[in-house]
Amino acid sequence: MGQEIVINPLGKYASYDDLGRLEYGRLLWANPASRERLIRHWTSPSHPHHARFAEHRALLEQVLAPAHDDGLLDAELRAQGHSLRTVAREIPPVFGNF
Amino acid sequence: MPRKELKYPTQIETWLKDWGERLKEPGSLVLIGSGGLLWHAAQRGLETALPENSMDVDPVTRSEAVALLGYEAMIGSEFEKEHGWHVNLMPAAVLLEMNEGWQQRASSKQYGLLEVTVPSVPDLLVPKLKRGEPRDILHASWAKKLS
Repeated sequence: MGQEIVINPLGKYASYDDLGRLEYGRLLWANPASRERLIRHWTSPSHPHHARFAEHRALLEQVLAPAHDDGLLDAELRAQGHSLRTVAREIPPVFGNF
Repeated sequence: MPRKELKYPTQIETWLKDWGERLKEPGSLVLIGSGGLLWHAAQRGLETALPENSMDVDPVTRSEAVALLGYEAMIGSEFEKEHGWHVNLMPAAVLLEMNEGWQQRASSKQYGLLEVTVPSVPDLLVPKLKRGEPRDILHASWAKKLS
């Protein structure tokens, strides 16, 4: 059917909203043009989370980059006092005019 | 005056045809939820309204071009202003809520460059019946017409 089911990388406590923002964020992040569009949307002063995005941008770029091993990424984030789940929660939503 | 909220099978067909025409490259999606039930009704030529309106459709896609169309149609978008409902891109993990083997029971249809897969009516009802909210029960009862 042309669709690949991926394993939930955020563990059993993840919400579908968080998973969706991670999954589609990564899909668009992989294409430089779409990545620029996301960044423009998230850094716009009209986006209510633009300040949070700026605050967490380095971590967010780390999780949105193509991940070869989410387990390793999660371990790296935990060593910094975070986790893949908590950082994914900081991925801003897309809404309004994108 | 555009129809507000999602209620009629033709609304789903019109939306999918539009996306199929707008795609510049092949893409695919799996449609779940009430939108999937309305799709089945449309294939049967039914024009019976859902007993309670839906405010969104829930596609799952791995196609970047389809995801971009979805992001342009999210809550608060021009799409929503025009249609009265929006697109809520769902993660692939949501498909695991359906019974094993749903892919073999699903139907597919091509809309231009867009391939749409819709799980069977009983599979679409599994998550709704697990949730069991009044609206889900009403939709499940409505879906009996599709069997």
